[in-house]
Amino acid sequence: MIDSFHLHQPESLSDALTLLAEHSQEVKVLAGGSELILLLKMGLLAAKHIINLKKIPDLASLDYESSPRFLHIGPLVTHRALEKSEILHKYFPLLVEMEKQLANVRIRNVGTLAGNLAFAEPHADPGTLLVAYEASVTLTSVDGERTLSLQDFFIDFYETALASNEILSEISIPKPASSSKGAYLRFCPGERPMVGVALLSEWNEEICEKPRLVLGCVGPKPMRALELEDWMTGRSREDIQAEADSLGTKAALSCQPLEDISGSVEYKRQIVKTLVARAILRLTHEGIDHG
Amino acid sequence: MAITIGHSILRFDGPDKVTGRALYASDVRLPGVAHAKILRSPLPHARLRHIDASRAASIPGVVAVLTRENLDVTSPYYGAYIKDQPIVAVEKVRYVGDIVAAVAATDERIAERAVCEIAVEYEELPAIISVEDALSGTAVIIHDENPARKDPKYGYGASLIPHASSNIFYHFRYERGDVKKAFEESDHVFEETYDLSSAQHYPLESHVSVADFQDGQVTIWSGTQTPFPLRQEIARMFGLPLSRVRVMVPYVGGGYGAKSGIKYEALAVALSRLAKRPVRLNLSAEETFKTLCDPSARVTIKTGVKKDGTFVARHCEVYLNGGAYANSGPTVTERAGYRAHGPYRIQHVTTNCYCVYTNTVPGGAFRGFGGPQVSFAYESHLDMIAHHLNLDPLQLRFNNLLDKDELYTAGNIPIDCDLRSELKLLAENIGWGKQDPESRIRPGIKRGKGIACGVKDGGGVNKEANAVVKILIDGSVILFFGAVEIGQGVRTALMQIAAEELRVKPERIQVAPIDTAYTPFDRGTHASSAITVMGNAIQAAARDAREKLMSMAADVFRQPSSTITLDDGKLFAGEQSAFIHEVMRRHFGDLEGEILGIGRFKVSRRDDAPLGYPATFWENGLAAAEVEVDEMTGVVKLIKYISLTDAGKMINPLHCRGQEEGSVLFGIGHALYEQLIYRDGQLINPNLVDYHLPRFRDLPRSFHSIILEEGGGTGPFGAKGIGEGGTLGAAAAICNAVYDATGVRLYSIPLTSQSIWAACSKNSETPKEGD
Amino acid sequence: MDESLIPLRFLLNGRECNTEVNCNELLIDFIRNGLGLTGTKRSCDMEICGACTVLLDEKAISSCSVFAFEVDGKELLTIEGLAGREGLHPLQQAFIECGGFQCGFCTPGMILLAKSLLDENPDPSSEEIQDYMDANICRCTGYQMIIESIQYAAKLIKSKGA
Repeated sequence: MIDSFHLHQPESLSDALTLLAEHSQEVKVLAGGSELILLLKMGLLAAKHIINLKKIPDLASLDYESSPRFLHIGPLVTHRALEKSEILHKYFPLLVEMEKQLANVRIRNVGTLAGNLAFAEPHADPGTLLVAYEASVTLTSVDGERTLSLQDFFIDFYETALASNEILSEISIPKPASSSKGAYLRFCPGERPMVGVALLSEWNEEICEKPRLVLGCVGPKPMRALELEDWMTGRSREDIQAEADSLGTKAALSCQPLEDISGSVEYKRQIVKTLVARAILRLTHEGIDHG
Repeated sequence: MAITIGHSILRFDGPDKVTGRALYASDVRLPGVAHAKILRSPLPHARLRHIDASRAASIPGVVAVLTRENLDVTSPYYGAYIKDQPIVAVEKVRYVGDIVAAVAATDERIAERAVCEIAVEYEELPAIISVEDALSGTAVIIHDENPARKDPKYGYGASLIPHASSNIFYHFRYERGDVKKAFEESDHVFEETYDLSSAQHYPLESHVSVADFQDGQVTIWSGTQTPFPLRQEIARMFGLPLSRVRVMVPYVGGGYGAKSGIKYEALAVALSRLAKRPVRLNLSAEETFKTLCDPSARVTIKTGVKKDGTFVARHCEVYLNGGAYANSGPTVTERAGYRAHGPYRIQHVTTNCYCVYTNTVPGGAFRGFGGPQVSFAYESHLDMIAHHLNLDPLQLRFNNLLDKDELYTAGNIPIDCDLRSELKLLAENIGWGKQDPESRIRPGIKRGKGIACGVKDGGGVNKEANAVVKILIDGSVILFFGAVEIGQGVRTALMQIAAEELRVKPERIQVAPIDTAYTPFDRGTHASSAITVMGNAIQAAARDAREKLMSMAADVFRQPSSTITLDDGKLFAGEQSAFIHEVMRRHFGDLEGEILGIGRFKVSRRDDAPLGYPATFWENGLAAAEVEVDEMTGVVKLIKYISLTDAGKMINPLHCRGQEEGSVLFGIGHALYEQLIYRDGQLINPNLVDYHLPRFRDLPRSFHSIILEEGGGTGPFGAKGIGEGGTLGAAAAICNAVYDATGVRLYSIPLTSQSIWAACSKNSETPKEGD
Repeated sequence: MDESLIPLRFLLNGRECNTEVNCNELLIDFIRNGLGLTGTKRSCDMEICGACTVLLDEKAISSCSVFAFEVDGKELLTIEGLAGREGLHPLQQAFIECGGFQCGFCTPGMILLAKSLLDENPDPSSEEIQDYMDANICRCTGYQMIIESIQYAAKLIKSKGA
């Protein structure tokens, strides 16, 4: 049972932002609503005001500019829309693979990527992969706009840089270079992923360039394994493949997973180790092309 | 030629259910109904010092608040065998979720708010979560009030052992021969301990009770599996004659044992009496988790064998965690104890089965009813014996399995199916002894096969079933019987039995809804009993109606009864023939009339039967699994799964397949995923995010159910009950397959991927990596 | 604080519906109580089981976790709206003939989810059905007979030329 609230259904983004600024601490933004409504039902959140964004046109846009090759995702784009998008199938197939596995189709029909990122649930998929893509987010308020890397946007468990008067108005993902390959592996024995591993890199012939290895769900936020990225940079495909297991072990030791109902610390590290090793093998064998 | 038996005729509840027209208890709408919410204990064990509901009662919209202060009943306690559970807490609360008080209000939100306004003072007591703690010398006694109990009279070999001042509330013992001597004379003795977690039925429809107490008359709508025992409890608790308690059962959204026996109905009745209006109590999913569970078990099994693997003696010690209230714990205990030694030829047997109070969710009836707990142990144990003796586990089973017509125990019906040839069929289907060429391709990925065979005495104990067949003057028929449609399709199948006996098409028959005011008595829908126990009653009632009809025809045709035949809705006597409705019109003339056929069935008591009554039939559950284990992650994939059971005679093959496959998924769920997890006395996973139910993705890659018709059932046309067999073989078949794949034996289910990985890495020779 | 009423204008099972609803009311409660359509069922109440599935603009959603006011301007299909004037929808017919239901509580949601699958993919493979339908839970059938029901429904729809 959800307590009553004032419902606002603005028809422009600027009206929404004004309302947000006006009611600041007592207001929640409704995009897809999956997380919001669950928390309201459980009594973990109270909202005196709710701003429904869905009457605002053009917020569900999915834009791919050929130059300078960025995918722009609006705040009302659902997981399902991403999963079915022709643009993503063509240029960001790894994103499609990740979205397909997320939750279930009913949640994907309603839940938005922006909403998911803003909620910063530690056991989630999109953040992990998008950090590997070096995505950025645009935060908009009555005072203007600012853009952050997604990595900087995540601060802690369920905590982001989003101020109480801001809306996450756009997610931008740069198109990786044509030589890019990647893998996204997740371990999800229950309803929410226990471990997520995203690995992307460019290749100059057989040499690895700009590797991005992100460990997800095993800390307060997605974590880039910088030491391993450093090691991989400039190394050959063969060398990296040969070291897959030991890289996995190092990755496992580099994170601080918490014990919870889905697994012990030791087990989660084992899964990190296994998924990183397998991601590396996939990357160096047959990783998904981005060309 | 059969009119309908053996045909998968379409279920009559189909159109209702696929269109949304089907009404469940949660859909019952009564004018003026108030909505109830429950105040539940936040503590696992505490004395109720003081309770003040005055603030709650004064909230506008609140029409009743029920606490121990205004309970005002003849007896506040209920329970199938031990009356230890109060409608609302009287002196103590005994688990987190225990009912303290309840509110009825004009809408749910007001009721919810009012519940928070009830002030309660608790005096915390030490909480006991595990069976070990409950049995320790210093353990506090959870039930010190000496509740009334109804104890059975057992027969040959079985006994009930009382325990004073103990948390053991039921101790069943079965013995034959001289186990101690037999162990001394065995060539080898093996002993192991197996653990099975507590599980939640999760019927998709939660518990719902709607009650209306008016003018000394109670009407209840409930999704219950046992309308008549419910009526009896309500009448007793409220001091009413049975005739003034009426229970109606709409469609039920899943039972599996969760809705067997009284649950919240007395609470709804008490609130309605206070509120002077109907009251509706519709539980949340979380509350369903906190109502009843499958009791967790620890089984220690010890077997003495000859050199060649012949079983000589078996000793089982079974401990069930019964939770805070007895519920059906006593019968689960007695059945688990009786079933513990398995379908094998063993001369010397001793079994002790204990049910123990703890401060956790009460354990009780759950699909399999104690059978899965012990079959997991005895079928895993058998494989380990085979391993130690270097024998094929399949062969070891062949050597020791009971034959058809052999006795499971003295005083019971003999085994009514050919387990050995069933096992042979199963082994052929899984490709036993053959290795899949795919199985050696990837390092760290291992494949293996496992097999298991479990039986349970089916049909329940002391179950009385009655049925009435009414032939109306136009030849159409109404059936009255109390077997509840919880999804099994039984009401359609029972209609098929009546149609067959009356030689009419099923379309001519209507099944009356269950209303204890009109429906004849039935003990309950559980123990896979409906098709046999109620089936026999229906068959008897239909035969009674048929005889009356034929005698009427003899009168009308002026021919001796012996010359009358009935077929395809028509009566024949030599050259003469007439439709049923013609005969009836000619007999009754201008007056309307009808024929009532009455039937009853109950298995008779046998003083030598260990449980006091022989089984109605033997329900069997065989399973073969081929698994693939990823040793790095511990994930088990089910590559192939074959289940096998014997239905005796399938009245409706489609229903049988549905029940068998549904029960297999229950078994797989428990084997791989399902467990209730407690921390500091709190159940921490009472929801579907944290409690993993099997989903489409968990289907084995290849899954076949084999349902045989060996004709040995005591039900109509040789039928036996099914629907629980799938829970008997799953856990052991999967664990045996994992052992075959990895050489690692797991002694505890669920086999989470973490537990498999931990066992595999402990087993492997390379040092464990980690911190 | 007074509850604010939100005007709603939407298509309910093909018919235009004009009404108003409290802003804090969930869609499932509006359907079951406000509209009196009890075919949509509440179970887990947290978007996991899918018993509450309805189709909003042809998309399968969990009515337990969507506000009622969100149907404004849209098309809502509940189980009651599936059968046509000619009779049961092929999915309903198939679920009956192939044993796709038992207790029936998950069935309305399951059938609507299956409809959204067949609308998008009229000839799905068994794997595609399993993958898509994984969204919803059934505790009775063991799932295989639901998959077969959907495959049969696809055949029925194809032969009808619909």
